[in-house]
Amino acid sequence: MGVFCDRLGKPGVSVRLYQKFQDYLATNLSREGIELDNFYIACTEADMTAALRDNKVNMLMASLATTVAVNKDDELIEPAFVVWRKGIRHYRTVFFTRKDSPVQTIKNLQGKKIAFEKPLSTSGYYLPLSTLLNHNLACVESDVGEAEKDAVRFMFAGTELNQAYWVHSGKVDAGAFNDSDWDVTPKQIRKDLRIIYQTDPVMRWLFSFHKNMPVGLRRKVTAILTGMHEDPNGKLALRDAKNIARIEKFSKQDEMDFQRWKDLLTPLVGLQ
Amino acid sequence: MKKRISTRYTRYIAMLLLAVVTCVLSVVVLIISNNTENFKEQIRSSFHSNQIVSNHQMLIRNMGYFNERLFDPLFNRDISLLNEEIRQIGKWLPIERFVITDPEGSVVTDGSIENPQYGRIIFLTDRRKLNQPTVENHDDRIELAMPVAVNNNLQGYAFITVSNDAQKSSMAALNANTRQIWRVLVQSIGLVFFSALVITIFLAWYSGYWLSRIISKPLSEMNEAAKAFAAGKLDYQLQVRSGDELGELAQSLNSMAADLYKTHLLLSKAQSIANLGSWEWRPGQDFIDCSENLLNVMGSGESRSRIGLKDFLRLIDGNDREKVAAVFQADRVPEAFSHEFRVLTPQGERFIQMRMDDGDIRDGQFDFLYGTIQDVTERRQVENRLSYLANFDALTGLPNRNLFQDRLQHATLKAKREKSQLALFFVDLNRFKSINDLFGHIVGDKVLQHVSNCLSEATRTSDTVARLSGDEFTLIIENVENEGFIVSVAEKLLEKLSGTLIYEGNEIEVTCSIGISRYPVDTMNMKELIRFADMAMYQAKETAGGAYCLFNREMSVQAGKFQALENDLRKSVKNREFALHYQPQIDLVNGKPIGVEALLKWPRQGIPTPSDQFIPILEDSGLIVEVGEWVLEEACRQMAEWRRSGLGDLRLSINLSGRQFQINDFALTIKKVLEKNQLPPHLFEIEVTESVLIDLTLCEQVMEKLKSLGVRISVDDFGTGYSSLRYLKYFAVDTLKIDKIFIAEINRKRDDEDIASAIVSLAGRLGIDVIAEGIETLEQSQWLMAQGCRFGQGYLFGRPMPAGELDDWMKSRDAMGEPPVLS
Repeated sequence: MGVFCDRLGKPGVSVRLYQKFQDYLATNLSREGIELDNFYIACTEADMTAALRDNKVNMLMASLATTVAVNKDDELIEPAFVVWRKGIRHYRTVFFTRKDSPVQTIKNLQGKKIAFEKPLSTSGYYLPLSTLLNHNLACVESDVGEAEKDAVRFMFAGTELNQAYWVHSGKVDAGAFNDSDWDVTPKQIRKDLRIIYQTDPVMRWLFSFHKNMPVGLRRKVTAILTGMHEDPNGKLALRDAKNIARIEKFSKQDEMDFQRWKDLLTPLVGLQ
Repeated sequence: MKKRISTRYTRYIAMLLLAVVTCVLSVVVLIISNNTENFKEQIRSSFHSNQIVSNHQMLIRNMGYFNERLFDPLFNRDISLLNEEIRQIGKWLPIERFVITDPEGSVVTDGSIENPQYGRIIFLTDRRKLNQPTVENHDDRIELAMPVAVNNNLQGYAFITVSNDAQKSSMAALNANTRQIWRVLVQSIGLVFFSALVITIFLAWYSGYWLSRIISKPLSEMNEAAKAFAAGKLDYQLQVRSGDELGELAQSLNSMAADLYKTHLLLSKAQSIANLGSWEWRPGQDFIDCSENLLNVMGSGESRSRIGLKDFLRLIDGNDREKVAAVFQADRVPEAFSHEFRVLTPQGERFIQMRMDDGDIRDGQFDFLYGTIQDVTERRQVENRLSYLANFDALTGLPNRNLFQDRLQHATLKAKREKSQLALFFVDLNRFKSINDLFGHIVGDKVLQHVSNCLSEATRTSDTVARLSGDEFTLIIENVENEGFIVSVAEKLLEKLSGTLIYEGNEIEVTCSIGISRYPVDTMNMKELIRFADMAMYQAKETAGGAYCLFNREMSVQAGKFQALENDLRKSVKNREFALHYQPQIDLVNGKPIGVEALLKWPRQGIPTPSDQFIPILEDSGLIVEVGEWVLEEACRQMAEWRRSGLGDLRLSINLSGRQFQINDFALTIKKVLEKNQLPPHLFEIEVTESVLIDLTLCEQVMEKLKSLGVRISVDDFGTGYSSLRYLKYFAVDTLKIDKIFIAEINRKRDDEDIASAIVSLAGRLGIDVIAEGIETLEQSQWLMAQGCRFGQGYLFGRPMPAGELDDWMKSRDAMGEPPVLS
């Protein structure tokens, strides 16, 4: 199984998060006579793509944007499950500004500055970037010297907290992150901010199979994953892995949603 | 008398020697005293200054570090990183407050996520504006204000407040230890001085004669010896050249040195008692000089006065070693230092506190370091134990009420933050008081430990199980997904807890009642959450016992109704709005009345209220005591009136509550009322339920007094309560009243007939009367007579009626002559 570094350059954090999940999966597969290697941790999309090509990874658990990025060139993986990370199935990105800001719509961001969270972030980078482009707004990173006067200049704040403070202090005109982060923004500054736009909901996290994975093995893994939340040991493993509430098989609607987001995000992923 | 030269020499030399030895001794004592006093003062003053200025210097020393850590994130307005830096600094510095502002003094962050001071303006003095750091010492804190800047590029200011609390307690401990050591030392020196003085006087006088003949060499040797002793070389041995006075004097001087050595040992002993060791190190040395007790404190088991520096550091746990090693650097002047580190000894881990003064400077050169180490393991253990006792229940090891409140507060805050749910379970053991009374408190404690184990096993490690008091337990179940999960936990708990516990041959039935409230579904207020769980638990207890109940809003409404009922009852007690009705008790054989049972009636606002609705409230509220006294007085007064009107020797039965048994001199009260109304005690009967009799500690003494008065005792509702019949043996019970539920089904249910028949048979064997309650048909009456039951009461004979109606009832029966119901 493959996962991405939750914190750049700190694979140990990911080991602590996903070890129980990996052990649970390995234990249950061993009862079927199937041996599962220890999980593979990649810190970049290119690294994970290479591992998929080399068949070192048969299953991948990752965010929507990361899944699209890994699949961009070779279509090596096939998303099959929605993962309820942090207990939720969907989330969305909200754009916010100061209440006294003249920026009241997405269109008003023309020629303004916006703070994103960090590269590889689905809700804090890819979704807002895609949204701006769909509104026919050109976007350039802030440190690019020459740019169109009307382009939206974006910069990375590193954390959601910094995004909120930067907007509040006027360092940037707007910020964008997911609605869960909006709920935990300190009240002291949130009272001076307002949401001007929110995207459609996207699936919180995805679990995908390698396209070459045999159907029989897929069936066994599916049975284990979809039953984890009803098994006390499975629940413990899910809780450790970023408080996952359950893992749910893709519905027809999920497949259509994924295809729509894939079409929107594919041109963007891999640019950073 | 002829004066001899030997005598004169003896006198002169003795005086001289005495003066010399006294001087030498004084010098030795003075040197030791001065050195010790200086050492003590130096340690005390150095520790004092160390403690006072350590935080001050730490702040000054680390200003550059703070600036280095804070400049970049402040420049980038990276508040997440600033908060992380503040958190990291707080790990090694006792920070009370840490605020970072921009150049205009507007607060950027105070290190918390909530950041409530964000944007508030802090007044900047001119000095601060000039970019100079300021440090202000206060009794309880030190405040540092410093610019965050690089090469005049000012990004803002940092305001840091550091607490001095830990230093004050350290100073107090050091002063106490120093005073103790010095007291022992002074006593030892005084003793040695006195002993040496006595010996010196004696020896000087005794050796005077011989000194007159052999003076130079021995004196010279003794002088050398005295100097050596004065220099602290107490192992120096003066050669004994002869067996004469000089030889003895030499031996005495050696003894003196031995005494001084003993003083040295006493000092070591004092250090050993205080678990203290001292050390000294000079720059360039690869060893440290130490007191004998130092290695013992470190747990090495050796006794040496010198140890290699590397060997010393190897005794220290790896995590702390580097910090201690940094002290022994020859290329820089070390500063005052106090640090606790861990050592691993064959007996286990020990915690050692190491303290030292600033490096000693002589002629501008760093000369030497000295300091102490002390074993503070016991202090640490006491601190840990105190913390444990403040938060955990000693019997079960579970969190106590204090920790429960804290955990619940954290759990509710977490649930609010994460938008999750939690459930609060109140678990109460059924009839635990009876278990204590029947089997004793040791068994009761075992039951509580058994229950705490079951609760812990039935819950997740992330859940909190606590014991609030007695048999009250609570569970905080976090991350509850739905009501089904709560129900499954409750059923699991009931299954685990219900059953028979066998302890030392006793079979103890354990059941519990569980009340559950949910956050935030039922309330978001913590106190209400607890109260709701408690209400639900009582609902569960009342409903079934051995059940669980989820709080719902109707319980609040029901509680309000009970409260209104209780309020009305209180008004009625105050206004005497109660009445007594009397139901006749009949001899089934001849149909004649043998007595009456007084029954309490309450016309609430003119409407009769069933007794099972208001009597439990009277008992729970304690009003039953006042009402019970009125019933006793009124019933006896009425019976006396009937007796005066010629009604004959009828028996009066009165129901008593368990609460009335707790009244002081209750038996005496009954005696006075009977005497006042001239009622014979054998015509007065008290009716109590089995649950009252089962509580032996409650009623044993009162029962004995009542029996000695001659009052009859009747067991009401027999067969519906406890199965234990021990009380029939303990108390001379006169009557058993078969409950009406067994009578109602006679001729219809075989089981009830068997029970009624068995009770009659049991009573007959024990010589106890039996009254059957609730007889409504002639067939029931005849069946009971056939079983040998002599007495009964019920609607077949007469319903409960006011006193006036009972008069008419009696007269109508007399007029008929024959018992109408049996004809």
